[in-house]
Amino acid sequence: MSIEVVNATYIYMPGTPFELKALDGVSLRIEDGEFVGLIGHTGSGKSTLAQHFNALLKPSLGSVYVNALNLNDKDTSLKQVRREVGLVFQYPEYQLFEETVRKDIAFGPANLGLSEEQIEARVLEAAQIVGIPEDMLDKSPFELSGGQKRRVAIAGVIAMRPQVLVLDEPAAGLDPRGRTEMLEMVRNYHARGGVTVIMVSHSMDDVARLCSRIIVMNRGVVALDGTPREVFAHGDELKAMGLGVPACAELSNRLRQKGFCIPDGVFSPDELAEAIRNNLKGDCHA
Amino acid sequence: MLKNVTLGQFFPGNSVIHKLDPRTKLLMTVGLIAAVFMAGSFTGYVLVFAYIFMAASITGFGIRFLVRGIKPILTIVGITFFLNMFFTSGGEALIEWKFIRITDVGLKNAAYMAIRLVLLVLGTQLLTLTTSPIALTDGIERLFHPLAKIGFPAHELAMLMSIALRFIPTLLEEADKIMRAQMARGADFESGNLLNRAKAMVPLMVPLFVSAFRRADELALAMEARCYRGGAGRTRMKVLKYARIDLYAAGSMLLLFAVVLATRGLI
Repeated sequence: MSIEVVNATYIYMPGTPFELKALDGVSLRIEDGEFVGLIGHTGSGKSTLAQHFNALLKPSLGSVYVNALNLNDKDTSLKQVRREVGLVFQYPEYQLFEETVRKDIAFGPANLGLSEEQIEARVLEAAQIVGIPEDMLDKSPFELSGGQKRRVAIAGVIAMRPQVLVLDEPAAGLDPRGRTEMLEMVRNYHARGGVTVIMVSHSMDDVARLCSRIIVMNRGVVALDGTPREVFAHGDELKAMGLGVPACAELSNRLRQKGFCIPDGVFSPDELAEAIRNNLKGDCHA
Repeated sequence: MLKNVTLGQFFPGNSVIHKLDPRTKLLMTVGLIAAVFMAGSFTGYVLVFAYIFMAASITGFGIRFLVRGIKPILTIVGITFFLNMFFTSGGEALIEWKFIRITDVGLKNAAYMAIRLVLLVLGTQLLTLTTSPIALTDGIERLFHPLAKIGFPAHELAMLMSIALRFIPTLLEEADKIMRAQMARGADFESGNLLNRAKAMVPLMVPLFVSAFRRADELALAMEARCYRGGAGRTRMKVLKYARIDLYAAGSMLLLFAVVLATRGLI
């Protein structure tokens, strides 16, 4: 399930004073099973790009391929594409509408034309993945807390069993604990295997902790693309884009420059503390 | 999709028309509407169109931009046209087939009605296009101010209108976003028969209403937090003032109105 974007340009409201080039010749390829962090400052085009992955937006110029299917082709079934690439919007809790949580999660699978039993199985599976207890399924989604609503909305997309899950700022607006739990949930979902996850975010710390690859967007173009280590080596460029480097990566970089022995890919406080302790003990595993 | 709707939206600019006093523009819009209804001949409509064309050029948007704004009401124009065509009695029959009877008067009425609607939307768009919602509210409030003495809620009405106008683009954007989100879950808004389509609107309408109420609630709270008590005793930082250009603009509208009346032999 690869996604390939070739030279995509997207213009909002062309021909009006509000004309805006959100994407400007973006090319990238995302392979099966990757966990990609799509990062950028506000207005960098990351959310616009995310909507190209399942053909909600079509590039003004250039093309997008999902599994080698050109999304611009008239013959390509958009329904099929949207079944394979699930997109969770920012603040997805505002799209809930059904009377019960169960029905809301079932909306996607029902649109796929599955049988009652299949739908029920998928609802239970999705609820379990996002951590919604079974007794909550018959409540109204409007009774739940903000964090729970968001989980229900994400479950609604997961229940369609997409091969690629695109999440736009899944942790936006949550308190620190909700944030950690949400990111942990996304990590576990990817760890189950068999799915590609693309997480849009503007938090370097979040993507650093989770993703194996980071794509940095800036003003509608791909500015950097690589492993977290490769991307964080460009600290100054990232700062110029208003992004910065995760605090621990910054500290690791500086310690490395001072001659300390810090292994690659240390982005969490715990790992860094461990590395420093090893240094003090005189061990080096780098 | 919905985001591309330009009808009723304010586009900032620096043209003379942008700078006109909102009261002048409001009164001119009323004048234009009156002119559209008074004009009962093709010459009259051409005159009104020429006026709108000229105004559109001055704003810098051009007539094409206005024409694009008509798209959402084309269905209404179409329905009006056909209703008038089929249900106007009198005149000579051009086509008669079973119960359908199209007369020359009917055709003429239908055409006039469609032209009127199009001209109305074209012309009134100029007001919302060039006037910020705040200026518009101020204008409405000042215009109705004299009536406040007899208990007319001028301020409240103006505030109501400005809030409604302010939230049109916001709600459109929201509707667009929800629509996409549901499409990502396999919802289909574009095919099926009328009943299926109506049913398909539920996943859009419910979240939209919920969010509209939430926004209204938040707005009320924000207004109260800033001690909003209605219009009594309120002063403004920018006091509206008529300038010479307002006189010219109003004069041009009067001229149009007079010429339109003349085409009908009324003056």
